[in-house]
Amino acid sequence: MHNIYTGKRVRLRPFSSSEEYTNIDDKLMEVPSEYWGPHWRPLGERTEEYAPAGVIDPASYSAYAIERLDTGQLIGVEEHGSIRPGVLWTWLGTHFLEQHQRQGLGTEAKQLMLCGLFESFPLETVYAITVANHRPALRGLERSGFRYVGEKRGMFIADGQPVDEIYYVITREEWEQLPVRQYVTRG
Amino acid sequence: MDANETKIEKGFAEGRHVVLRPVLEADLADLARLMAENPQESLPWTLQRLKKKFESEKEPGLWGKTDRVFVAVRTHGGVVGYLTERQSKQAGIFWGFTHVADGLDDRGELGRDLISAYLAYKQKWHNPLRLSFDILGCEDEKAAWLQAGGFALELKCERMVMHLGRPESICTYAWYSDELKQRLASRDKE
Repeated sequence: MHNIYTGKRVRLRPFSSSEEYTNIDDKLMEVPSEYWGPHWRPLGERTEEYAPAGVIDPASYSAYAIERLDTGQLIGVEEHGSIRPGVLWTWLGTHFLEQHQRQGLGTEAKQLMLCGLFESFPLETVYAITVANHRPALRGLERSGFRYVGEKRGMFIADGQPVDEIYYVITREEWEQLPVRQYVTRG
Repeated sequence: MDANETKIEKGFAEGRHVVLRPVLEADLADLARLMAENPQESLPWTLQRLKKKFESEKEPGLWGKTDRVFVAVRTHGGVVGYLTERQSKQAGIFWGFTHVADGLDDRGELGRDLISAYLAYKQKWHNPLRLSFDILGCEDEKAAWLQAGGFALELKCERMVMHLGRPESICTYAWYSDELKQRLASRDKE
């Protein structure tokens, strides 16, 4: 099973060390997300998470390093949820350091993750969830080939106001039509 | 049955036919059977797996940080169902799933009573903004219990799980508090 996927602008690969994983996570968490709010997980928890298999464990949770091809920098984390027998879906999520956002890199990172998921597992659908006011994420999901499914109203509260969670999906058939499949390099 | 008809004691819910309470060790064999029967459970629950979870230091007594399991017991005794509750880090937002034993003559009555008792319990003690349950698209009986309790279909996600050899959807049925309804209406007006 491949765990390195390279596109035109970014590469997904396993984290090379616990330090690499925790360092980028520190950077991603140190400033609260404008949309999701503050989030912090203690170092011990993340070190423990890395120890068994380098945070690639399809049965529970997987996280990949996103590397920029032009500079070789580690710029974010691509993650997906558990994959279980009898369950035909999982979720994916993308986190970028602020200075690398809004450059279209997330679109390719998501599409590379979709290649990894649909090529390796008997999944029918991959879902992505964001909040209604996160317009960059909504646009990014649509550019990546996801389509709107619906929403859960008031699942999140920000500034005292209810915010809806928005659900996006891509099916195996829809992923098969994406151009990324023609140029992705595996391994 | 409306929430006013539901009697509540000791912080947990007592409906007309069922009582909801945390899981005791003596309930585990019945609960393992019910969990294995529930098409929403993605793990093949066995008594051994459940005992280990029950004894685990991380999630003691099936009343852990993420999941809280209630068993539904007939008022005159006997475990007939369960409800697993999950809670957002933000106050007042809860979701979960539930099951009542297949094949019982009064399954519909028990299911409606379970939902009604749970809603009354949450309203009395936890000031919920919203509650929701996920069910499979083919679970028409559960959909009817939820609709009878004031829940409405909010989201349907296709091709989520295998059930009896076929891909099935997962449907979310949600209940909004009056406060949330007002806040949503006010937000949507802007």
